Amino acid sequence: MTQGGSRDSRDWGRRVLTPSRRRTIFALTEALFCTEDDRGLVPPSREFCDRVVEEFDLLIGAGSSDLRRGYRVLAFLIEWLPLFFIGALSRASRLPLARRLAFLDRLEHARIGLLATLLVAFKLPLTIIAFERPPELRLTGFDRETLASRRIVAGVGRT
Amino acid sequence: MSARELVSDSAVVVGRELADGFEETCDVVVVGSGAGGAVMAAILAEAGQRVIVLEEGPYYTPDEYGAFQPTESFRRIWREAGMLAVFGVGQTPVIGLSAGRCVGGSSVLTGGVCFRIPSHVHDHWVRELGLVDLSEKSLERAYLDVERKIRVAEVPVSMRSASTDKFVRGAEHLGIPIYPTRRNMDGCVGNARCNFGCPSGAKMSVDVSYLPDALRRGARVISDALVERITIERGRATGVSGRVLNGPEGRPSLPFRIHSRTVVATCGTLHTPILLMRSGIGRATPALGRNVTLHPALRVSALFDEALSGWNGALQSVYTDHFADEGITLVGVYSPVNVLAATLPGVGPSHRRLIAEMPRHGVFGAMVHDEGGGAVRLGPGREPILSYRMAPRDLVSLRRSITILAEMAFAGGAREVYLPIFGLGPIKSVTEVRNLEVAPMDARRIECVAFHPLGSARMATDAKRGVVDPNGETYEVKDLYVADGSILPTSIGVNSQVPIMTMATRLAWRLAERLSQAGPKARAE
Repeated sequence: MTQGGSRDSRDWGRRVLTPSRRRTIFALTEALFCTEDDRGLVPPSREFCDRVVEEFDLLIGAGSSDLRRGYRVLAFLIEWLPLFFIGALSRASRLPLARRLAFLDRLEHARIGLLATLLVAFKLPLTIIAFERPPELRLTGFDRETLASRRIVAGVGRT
Repeated sequence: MSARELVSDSAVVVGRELADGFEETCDVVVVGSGAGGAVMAAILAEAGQRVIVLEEGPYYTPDEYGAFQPTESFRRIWREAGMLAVFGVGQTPVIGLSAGRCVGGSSVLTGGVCFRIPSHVHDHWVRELGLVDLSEKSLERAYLDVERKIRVAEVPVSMRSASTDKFVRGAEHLGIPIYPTRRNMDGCVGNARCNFGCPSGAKMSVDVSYLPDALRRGARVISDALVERITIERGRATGVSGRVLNGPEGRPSLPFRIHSRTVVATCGTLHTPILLMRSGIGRATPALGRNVTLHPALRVSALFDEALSGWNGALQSVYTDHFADEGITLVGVYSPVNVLAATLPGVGPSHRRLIAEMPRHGVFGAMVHDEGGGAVRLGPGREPILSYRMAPRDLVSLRRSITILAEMAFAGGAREVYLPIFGLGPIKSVTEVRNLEVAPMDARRIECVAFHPLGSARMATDAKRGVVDPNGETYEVKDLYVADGSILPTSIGVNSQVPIMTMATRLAWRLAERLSQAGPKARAE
């Protein structure tokens, strides 16, 4: 087993993100999954973010060259949109956590649907990855060991 | 051998383990191993034809894919790692599209819901389109054959999740009749993750129903085999060529070639037209790649007072066609919690707070019987580009379905409702949702998915309106047949698995008869 789950010859394990794109995804992960306490926002652990970025890289890597090109463009856009969207003279990955969160929140609430879609293009896969494994899986209240565990029901089985 | 015996490792040739390319001869080469391809292969092999099935995707046994986490499933057996999208044109949402890419095709990823084509759709095909062979009566025998082989049965009430129950109660309060779905299951325990591969091996997808039959009768299935071109000589299909995906990181590598008397394309609505276009077909059949319908779908999530743990129960156990006149079918649905979490609104702490309420969330879905407006085109790489312009009537239906689902949720006791509209917070009253339905809004804010792309090589009575004739043979090239969702003449408004398999059954029976009449002398040497 590796971070991405079981591997065999049918899983090529192709990674396609450049270091700068990994930084973008890492920064998005930090903002999307931060929590808060009395002192303010708390970013998730570095290990958690690394795992999410790694699995996102594998996911994109499993797609076609068209998909990979598409995500390169989307990552570029989300990285540079703060300048035009919240007037911040900074790339998204260099914004302080609170500003980054505010940026993503503004994107999600954009009246122009395509801007909201840009956020969703990252939020969807990153959230699926983030909450797939414990301890985050436990936060959903899911009560089986893993998402691939069978439900045990007495008296129900194959004919 | 029983019908649910699994495909054995030794029976499927795993393309990426091959050391050399290959050249083979057979009677029928089937491109694709999903709902259409597996049915064609099984029936033609049973009729004594030498059949080779070529599948672009990898081969996994049910035990293997049933153990995948959702992201592993995306990466290994979904096309484009589960991130396939349809580009909306004009006031059309961006639509996420599900498609399989493995031995068994999309049948491995369905929720298992089995509908026949509604009677009024059959009538339309016969009366308006002149497709007299596609009447309900003439397909009855094929329906029965498919339903028996994949063990279609009604979902018992005991398999309904508490999430579904809440919406059912709401529907009853509103006077909306709800019916049990029929599904192709044997031993379903309600894991509620059919779309990612059944952990109990209960789903009778074609890799455990039809393909073992085909293999037993001598058919050969080769995985990781990308067909790039149909060989055409003097207006007749004489085989296919392509490459095995076993180069570095799965890139195309070793060449292969199959010589055959007949070619059957069953690559699905997205890839069949691409294969045909790349083979030079389409000049005389302008409908190729056009008229794609999707059944745009969405789901509404609702927060109830008590814990429901909606993941305990069948993924899709009930439906209603009460709103069929408005082009809407409602279907109970659930998904793995991490997938549902991804669709909840908010970022950071606000999103996490909603995720923590997941056990109290109920979910229900709707899909629209659309007019069409999709087109498949060649892309810059291997994958096609699919665009879709939603008809104004369909957009109205889509927004109406959101209101209906929210009303059902409130009538069932929901405290708050979360609509599939980006950036929209919780809705707390029916009035609010009714106002939203008529408020101006960018349609691209609607979160929309689709599971049933159909119609890109539609069947018609002439080459101006369609790509294949009523026997499934292309108008442009003889001995080239299409037998997948792409041949359906219109949208059908219900899940497409059984309709595709039924159409394929009918075409396979006819083709088997035709090939046997032609006699062994005509076989490919």
